[in-house]
Amino acid sequence: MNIISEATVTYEVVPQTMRAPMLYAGLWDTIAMQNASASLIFPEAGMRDDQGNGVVSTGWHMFWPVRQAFYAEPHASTKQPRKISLHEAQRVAVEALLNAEKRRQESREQEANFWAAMEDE
Amino acid sequence: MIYEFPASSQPIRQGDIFRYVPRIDFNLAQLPIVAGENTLLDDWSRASANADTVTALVAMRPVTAIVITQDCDAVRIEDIALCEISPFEIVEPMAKGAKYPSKTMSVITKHARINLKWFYLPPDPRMGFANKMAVDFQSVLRVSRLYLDQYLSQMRIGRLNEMGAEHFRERLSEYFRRYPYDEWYPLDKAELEEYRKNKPEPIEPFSWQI
Repeated sequence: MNIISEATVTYEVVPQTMRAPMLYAGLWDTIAMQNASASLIFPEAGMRDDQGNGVVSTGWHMFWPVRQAFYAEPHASTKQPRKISLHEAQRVAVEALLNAEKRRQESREQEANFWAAMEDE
Repeated sequence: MIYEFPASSQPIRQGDIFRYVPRIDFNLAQLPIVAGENTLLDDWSRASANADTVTALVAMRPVTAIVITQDCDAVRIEDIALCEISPFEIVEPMAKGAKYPSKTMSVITKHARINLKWFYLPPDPRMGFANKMAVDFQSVLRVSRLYLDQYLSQMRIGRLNEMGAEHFRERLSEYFRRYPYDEWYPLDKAELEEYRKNKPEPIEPFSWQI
C-alpha cells in the first residue's frame, strides 16, 4: 500500500484515551521503500518507544495517514473530495443529523433490551 | 410539580430549562465543506490536515435542554453547558407503552437507580411538557452565555425547584463520576457465556475465565 506520496512528511500523533496500544514500526519500512523520510511528533510527554521496537506502551490514536501506513485502519476512507451542489450539501447535512439521531435511539434500545433481558431472568 | 418560573432578572443557574437550544450533528466521514465558491464532500481528517479552519455546512435542531454548568461558573463563563431533554420513552425505551402507575413508578424509581444516564422530569403544561420527559446526560450541548442572557425571557421556560435541583445535582455528579470497569471480571466461565449473550459488543474474557 503506497499511501505516503510526499518526499518528506511530518505526521502528528494525537493522544486519545481508551485506545489500544498501536504498532507503528511498519511505518518506517514503508517510508524506507519509498526513499522518503518522516517525523512523528508526540505533542504530549509520556509517549515513548522505550523498547525501540515500535510498540507504544500507552493508548494513543494516530493521525489517519500514519494509521493507514501500518494498516491500523484498513477501512479508512481513501476517496478523494468530491464537488457537490449546495442542494446536495444540504441533503447530506440533514441526513447526517437524522442518522445520528437514529443511531442514538438504536443504542438506547439495545441497552433497554439488555436490562429487560436481565429482568426476565 | 417540581418546577418554578424565575423572573427574567434572575441569573442563569444549574437546573434552568431552555428551549430552542441548538443541537448540531454531522458525519465526519462525509462533511459538506464550503471552499470558496465550491462545496466539497470530504473526510474531516483530510480536510483538517490541510487547513487550520474548516467551514462546513451542518444541520442544527432546536431542542429543549437543562443547564448543567454550576451556578458560580454560570455567571461568568463564556459558554453554558446543557443536557438535552427528550420524551421519557425516547431516553428510556423501557418506559415505552408503560400506561399504569405500577409500571411507570417502577421505571422511574428502579431504573433511575440502575441506569444513571438520565434524570426524570414529570409532565407540566406550564413548562410545555405534555408528557413525561427526561434529561439525557449523554447529549451535552454548549451555548454562548451572553446569547442565552440576551434571550432569557424567550428561551428560558422554567427551572427545577429546590428539591428537584438538589436531586438533579446529585444525579448529574453520579453520571460524570462513574468509573469504567469490566463488571464481568468475577464471573466464572459459564456465567460469562450467559453475560455475553446479551451484550452487543465483544466481551474479552480475563485469563482466569478461559
